[in-house]
Amino acid sequence: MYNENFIKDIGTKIIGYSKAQQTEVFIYGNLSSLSRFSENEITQNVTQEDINISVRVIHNNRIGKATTNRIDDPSLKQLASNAFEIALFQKEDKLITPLPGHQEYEEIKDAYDKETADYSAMDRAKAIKSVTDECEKQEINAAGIFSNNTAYICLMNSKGLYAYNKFTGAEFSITATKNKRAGWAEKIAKKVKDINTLDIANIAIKKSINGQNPSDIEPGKYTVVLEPAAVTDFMSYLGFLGFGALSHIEKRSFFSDKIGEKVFSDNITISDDAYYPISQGIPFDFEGMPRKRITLIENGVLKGIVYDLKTAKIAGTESTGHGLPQPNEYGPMPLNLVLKQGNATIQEMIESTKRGLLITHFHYTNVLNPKEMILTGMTRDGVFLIENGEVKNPINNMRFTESIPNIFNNVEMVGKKAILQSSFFGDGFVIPGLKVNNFTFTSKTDF
Amino acid sequence: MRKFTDLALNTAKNLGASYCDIRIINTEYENIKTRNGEIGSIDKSETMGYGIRVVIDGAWGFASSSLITKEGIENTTKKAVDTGKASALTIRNRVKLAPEPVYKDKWTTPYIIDPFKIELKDKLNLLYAADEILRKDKRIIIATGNLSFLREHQWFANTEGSFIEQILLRSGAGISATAIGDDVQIRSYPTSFGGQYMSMGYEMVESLKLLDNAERVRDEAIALTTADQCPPGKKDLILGTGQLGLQIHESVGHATELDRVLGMEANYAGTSFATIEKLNNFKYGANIVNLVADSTIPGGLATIGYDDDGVRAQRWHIVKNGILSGYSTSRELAHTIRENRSRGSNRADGYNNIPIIRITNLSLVPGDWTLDDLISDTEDGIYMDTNRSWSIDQRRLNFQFGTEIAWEIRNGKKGRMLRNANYQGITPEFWNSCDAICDEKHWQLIGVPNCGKGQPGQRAEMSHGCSPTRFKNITIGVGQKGNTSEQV
Repeated sequence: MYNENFIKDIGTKIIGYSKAQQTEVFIYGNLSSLSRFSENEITQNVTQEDINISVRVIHNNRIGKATTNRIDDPSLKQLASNAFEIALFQKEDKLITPLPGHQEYEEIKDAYDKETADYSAMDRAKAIKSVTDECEKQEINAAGIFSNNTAYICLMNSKGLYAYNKFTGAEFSITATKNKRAGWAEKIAKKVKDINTLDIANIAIKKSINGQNPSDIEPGKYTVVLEPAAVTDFMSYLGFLGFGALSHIEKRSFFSDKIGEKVFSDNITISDDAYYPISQGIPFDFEGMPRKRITLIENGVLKGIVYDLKTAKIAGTESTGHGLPQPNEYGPMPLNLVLKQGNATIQEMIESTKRGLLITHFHYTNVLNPKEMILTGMTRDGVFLIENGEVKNPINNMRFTESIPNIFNNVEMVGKKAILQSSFFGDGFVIPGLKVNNFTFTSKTDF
Repeated sequence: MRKFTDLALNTAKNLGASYCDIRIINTEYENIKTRNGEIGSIDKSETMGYGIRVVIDGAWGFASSSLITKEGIENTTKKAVDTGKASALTIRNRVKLAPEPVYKDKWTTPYIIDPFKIELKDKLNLLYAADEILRKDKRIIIATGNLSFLREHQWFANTEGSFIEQILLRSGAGISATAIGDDVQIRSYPTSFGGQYMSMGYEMVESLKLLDNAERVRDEAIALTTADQCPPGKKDLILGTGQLGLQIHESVGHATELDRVLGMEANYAGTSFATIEKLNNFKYGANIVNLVADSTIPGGLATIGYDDDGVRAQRWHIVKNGILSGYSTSRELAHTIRENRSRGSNRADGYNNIPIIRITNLSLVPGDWTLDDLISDTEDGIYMDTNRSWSIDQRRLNFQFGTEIAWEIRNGKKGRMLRNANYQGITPEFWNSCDAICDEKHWQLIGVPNCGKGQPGQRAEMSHGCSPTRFKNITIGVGQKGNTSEQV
């Protein structure tokens, strides 16, 4: 991988080549390796190394942008020229925000781990083999991934802003299947040594074995005990639909004009915190603004939303450091959500439930109605009936159709242990389990 | 490019690989989005890189890079070999590739107007003109326009002797309006999520007549905000092409990707109910249902000369007269269903991903109804069109889709407009309830430019041809008052 000085030189050259009044260079590079296995053998094994250089210029209130992965001087000159020429054709945008100058950033602790960066294909293969050997012993088919990656983000501009962050990450996830009944588990972390693949595999194996001989129940309203992975889908769409300033300004958010109002149960507190110890955040956004810690929901009350430079200008406030690459049609978005822990264990949630369902995670969750934040999705890889405080038999998968406000207004208990979960929108969220009442299932399957 | 491809193939052979292929790809991409009279996003990009795939000790290895130098290619080939050797540690089944003739060929997407030669200002003027029409009413809070163009110049070579050059070109365009009133509603043209995409040049954009349709799109978005809610219950459902395309994609296309069927996607996208013992005997749909995969059809987003295994494009039945009749396959997996040749469905997202089985263009063969006759023949039904939301389970059985717009059909007449329409079903039950398919005059290809699959995640493009089609006694209005779910 290219080192920081090399990357900085690329950015400096492009800014020098640019004829625009303001120039921003965004460089993302990665070395990503992933081993994929199914039927207890590695089926795909990849190593990808790449660099992506994007130039945004502002000239006479007009914006232009161009991208390449070529790093030779003629290509970099052409890149700066392409972005400038695109800007010349634009209409003037009076709301355009000038590029920010120099900024100070907080350090993200332990963002880079050399052991994770150096972890090899053979290291991953050995770890996978110990898992697949265990699965074979138990007559289970294992499918999953084990990945490690190193990446850097560099953002610099002609007004003196310079931001650089290098980070590592690793992920292991597994679906263990026996007689068509699957169990699933996942762990993501900044350091590969924090992932015990066999421990994770054993969770999935246990779910698969306990999932044999499922029974049917009818759709309807149920109390559900949601493991952290099952909560993540709701958090992900909540972040996408609810907390960005643009949808508030345009009055199309469920939360529009509700700041200061009680919107969720008392026991729900949500923040966006890139610096949370197990988060995989970066300390600046895609405009180079320092990423602030923001309380979004406190004890059920909507306290804040996130801004980029443009929405902050419209709203007469300051950027919270949540801008996406500009220009974009989505507005700002929180990428490091943290749902504050409560004081219950998953076991205590189960013991307090007369009749309900224990859910591992959901599949293909999607939005039915964005204004009302109504979602639909399927249970997956482990659904179990709870009766009189005990986990009983497994249940065939069911489809839910439910609104996010209804879910977070019916939270009876919040888990005391929060873990980092991969998220559809964002860099991974810190999530505990939840016990939710009156959760609506609308149809079922026979598996 | 020969010197680079030869270098990779020879290096791999010298390191002990029994098979190697290399794909060098140069990509040009232009995307322009307007939003409320401003630039929503704009990008013009060019990338170049290569992916090297090897079989060593009976297992796959892959590495990619953008460093096109002697040293870069040698190092990347070595990385591919090293990953392959690691894969071999867990091997149970040695990679066995179905035979394919050796090709030395060049293939190019047919097109009339090169979209990269159209002036940026002309493209922007088109989008701004549409924007002006869309925002003539203040109830429109968001007006968008989208133009997207992609050209991939690929060089494929393998150790069996094939050397294939392909230039693939596609264009995309669309507009949408979001209105606020009692509700917030969106209407798009010609389809949702960016519009129509085809393997064509700028002539496709011109043929869409975006400006001629902008007023209708605006007015329908406004009307939807005060339209009645789609009622819950069971009705005969007619799907327009803007929804049926995705129905085909999700409930047939993905279900018949052989890698999914065999469990290779079990940890992510899921598996399939359409398992291989069902081949040639499972009643997937009604007798009138014929679904044909075709990577040769003009304009299809997956229309190619050769796939990324170097297999020539083909046409074959997935469902024939209602019976499951085929799968999308690769050279690696063809033998698992006792076929001696791949169907040519192995495609990669760019140079830096490994090829995986992808849906190709998959289309519902037209029937003989006119749409007017179909509506006249429907007593108690609903017509839904233009996808807004989609979800399907991990075995591709239980699905639920929402559409932008719907109309009630009563006693053969198309009546009131309905908002927040959705329907739910189980795949084989749904396709077996199909009783009428409109004719070829109503048939059109619907492009899907954003199909996600695989880990690391890959995007693929394909098209689905269809004409309005009726399904009997389908659950609609899920989540509305009075349904099983009560109010949500």
